[in-house]
Amino acid sequence: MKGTPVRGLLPLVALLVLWQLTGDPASPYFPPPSTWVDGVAPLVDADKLLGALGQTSLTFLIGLAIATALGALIGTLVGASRPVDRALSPSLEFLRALPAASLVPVAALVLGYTAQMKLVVVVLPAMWPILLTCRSARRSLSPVLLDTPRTLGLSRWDRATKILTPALLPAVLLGVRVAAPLALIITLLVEIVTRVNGLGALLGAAQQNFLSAQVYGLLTIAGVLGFMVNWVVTRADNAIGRRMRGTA
Amino acid sequence: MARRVNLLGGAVFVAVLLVWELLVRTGILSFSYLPPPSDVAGGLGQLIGNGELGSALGHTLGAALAGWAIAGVLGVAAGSVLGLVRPVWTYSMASLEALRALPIVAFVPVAVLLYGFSVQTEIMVGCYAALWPILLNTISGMRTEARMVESGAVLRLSRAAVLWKIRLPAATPSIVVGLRLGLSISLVLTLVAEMVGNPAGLGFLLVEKGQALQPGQMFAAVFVVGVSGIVLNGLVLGAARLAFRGQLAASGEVA
Repeated sequence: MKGTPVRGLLPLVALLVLWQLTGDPASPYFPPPSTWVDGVAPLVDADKLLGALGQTSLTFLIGLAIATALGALIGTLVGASRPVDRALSPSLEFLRALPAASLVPVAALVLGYTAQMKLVVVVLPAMWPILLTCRSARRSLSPVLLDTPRTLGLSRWDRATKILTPALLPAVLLGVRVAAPLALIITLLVEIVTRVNGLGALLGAAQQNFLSAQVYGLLTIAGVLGFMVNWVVTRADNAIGRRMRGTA
Repeated sequence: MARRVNLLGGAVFVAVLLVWELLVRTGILSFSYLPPPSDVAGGLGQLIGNGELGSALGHTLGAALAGWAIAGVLGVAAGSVLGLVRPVWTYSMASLEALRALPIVAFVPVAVLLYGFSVQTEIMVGCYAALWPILLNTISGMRTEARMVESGAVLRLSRAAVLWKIRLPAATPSIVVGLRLGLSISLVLTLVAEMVGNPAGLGFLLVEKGQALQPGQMFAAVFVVGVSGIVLNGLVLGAARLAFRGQLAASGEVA
């Protein structure tokens, strides 16, 4: 990202141009890029694409928000006390080792093929990076930082909002930076596997019907979505980070 | 890191299982298909007993490891070139970053399209997924500190010797991290490929047991997936510690 020369895009562009020039438009495997637009067009005409994008983005955003809140809360609580940490860490370690993919059929069976099921599957794995960074940040907070406001007689609420939150915010942001692309991937994953709404469901359906141009078209759209998420997260992270350093 | 037995943690783990069992048995938690842990244990027994688990596990691990191994060779080779030869990096890194923005799971339908319902689909998907962390970690690992390379020049080492004796050992910890990340991602994506593509292995077992309304066996399969992930990660870490003890210790990976 930082300092990557734009010249580096040349091979990708060359490859796409070559593909376009030599590709056979009727190829069931490698349709050239110009056919991708036509492949996706029927979805736009049927008003399916925008709705699907909306559902995917909504699941992603709400899932990430819940994951951030839960991860920050649990991480802070677990990191605050050594015994709690020791008591919970084996259970947490095991939960963390479960790949998101294996949760999908379980959630589908227990919760049904619903939007809530999608959220649960997104929240669980996206929570970990935030929980872990928050836990280790809370653990390494200097005791002086925590004792000073107590000496000054600040209320519990003031201590939480004025001392703890600013101190842990960078850790939460770091976690979100890792969790955001993960949440998007898992959102698409649930949709591809369960076919419940969204871009992933369209992608899965296109593959099942052997609409290869549509598959590549949707893949490109998913890529743009992924790129946007990365861009926004990096920007937000830098902006907030600069402000925090400015006031510190 | 001294390893003490975490009795408290183990007790909490068991307590959680007991509470789960009680809640389901007494009907307080009433999802139609949430099995109590005893059913999961029973399901695990059945899966082991009829041999389904063994063959599924073997298939999945084989595919995941094959994809990972190919990605390891490709990733370390390409990553070394990209990390060492500046012009190559300048003229291709942005392409790689653009490709990396494509969510990996979105490639699964493409792979199914290209390779059909075969084990190749699984290996390709696993390989593609594992390639990224290995490639990127190798690239950053090969960016050796200039001072180390300079000391090689002072010692009049040949270019090959600088590569072999300085750059490669310096990159090892980072490559090992990439390989570990790659293996877990390869396993996950192999499972996904089995769920939507090739009907075989643990991924298909999960879906199949779900559709057959066998929650006990399905949770047992999830448990096995989790354990195999932990075991694989441990094996890679152990092997790396054995093989590259010096390099890892120098970077503070092994305390």
